[in-house]
Amino acid sequence: METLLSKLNTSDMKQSMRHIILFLTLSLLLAGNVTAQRISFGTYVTDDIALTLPNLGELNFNDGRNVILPGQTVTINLTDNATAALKIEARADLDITVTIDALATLDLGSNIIPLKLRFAYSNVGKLNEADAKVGPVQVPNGFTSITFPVLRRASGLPAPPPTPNHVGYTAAKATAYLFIYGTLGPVPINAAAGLYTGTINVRVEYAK
Amino acid sequence: MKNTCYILFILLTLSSIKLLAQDKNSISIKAQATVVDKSGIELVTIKDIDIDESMAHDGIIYVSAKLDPQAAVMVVKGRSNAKFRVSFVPVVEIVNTTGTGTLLLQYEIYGYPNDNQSASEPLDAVDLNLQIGSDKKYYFWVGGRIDISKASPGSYYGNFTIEIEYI
Repeated sequence: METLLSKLNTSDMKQSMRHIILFLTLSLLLAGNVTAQRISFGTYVTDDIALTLPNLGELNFNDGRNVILPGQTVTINLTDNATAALKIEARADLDITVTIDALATLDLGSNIIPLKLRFAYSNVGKLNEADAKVGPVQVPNGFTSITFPVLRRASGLPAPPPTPNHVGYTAAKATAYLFIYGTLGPVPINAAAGLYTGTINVRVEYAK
Repeated sequence: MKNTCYILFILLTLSSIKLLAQDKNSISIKAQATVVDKSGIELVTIKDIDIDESMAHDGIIYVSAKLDPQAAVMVVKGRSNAKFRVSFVPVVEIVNTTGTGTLLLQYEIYGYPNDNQSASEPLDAVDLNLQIGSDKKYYFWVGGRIDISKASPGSYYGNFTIEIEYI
């Protein structure tokens, strides 16, 4: 009987060890995946955000000043036609975070021109770019990331929590606009003539 | 245990798919500017103004910049739709190269962004801001008025200078 008990204990121990090893293995795998899960499995997926560029998808300072000469500074203001616009279609009841990544210069080889970008957004449900340009919110200088509701909520009591996605449910969407403009220059006196370029990367995701 | 592994596998797979899908939420906007050299604008004389005494009426020779085919033609070549400044001296002294004496030639300048003399507009001021046409050109027609009633016989010659620069 004692012998039998002893055998049972040994078997239990082996099984426990197996569980511990499996648990540790899983724990390690899970630990390695924690960050990815946080990004990937937030409350709301980001696939239903649609980004489109209503105009040419460029910020062309020659649209602000046809001829840009060394020594000059060119400014494209928010209300100018040359302002670049980004149309954002997303869930109306959620907030989005817009992150802008751009260099502080336009480059032509080793020649550079200082670039100061400004941003503004319109989240009052305007349906086209022209209407959205009326009274957008200008982001203060120096900010490269901003979080705002896709559709501005009326003042008063806080809105109820967003409805989670589920089968058969289609969330209402709204359109927000992001405007990018700014100042180029002063163009260095010894700047080479030619086309200076840079890329403005804009990322939009639901706020976490 | 198997179920746990499957769930873990699915989670990892979904994780990869999701990370790729998030790239859809980024977009790139190109910022650009073309810088031109100040010398990137030029003025070319297409035709000189050529006057002789047979054109005189009551001692006055007048060549209409807008109407006469004898008017001189100059063209600005630069960046399309670019604004530029033009300046000139409206009265120039021309010199008798075969004798003595000088005459004062009062210029008349008309301009237009296309090669259309009859549609040209007078450029009255000496310091004007103009705009090059979409075909990268701006035309000047130069005429003038000169009083030869008291001129000595001879061949008179002078230069009319227009200065242009981008604004």
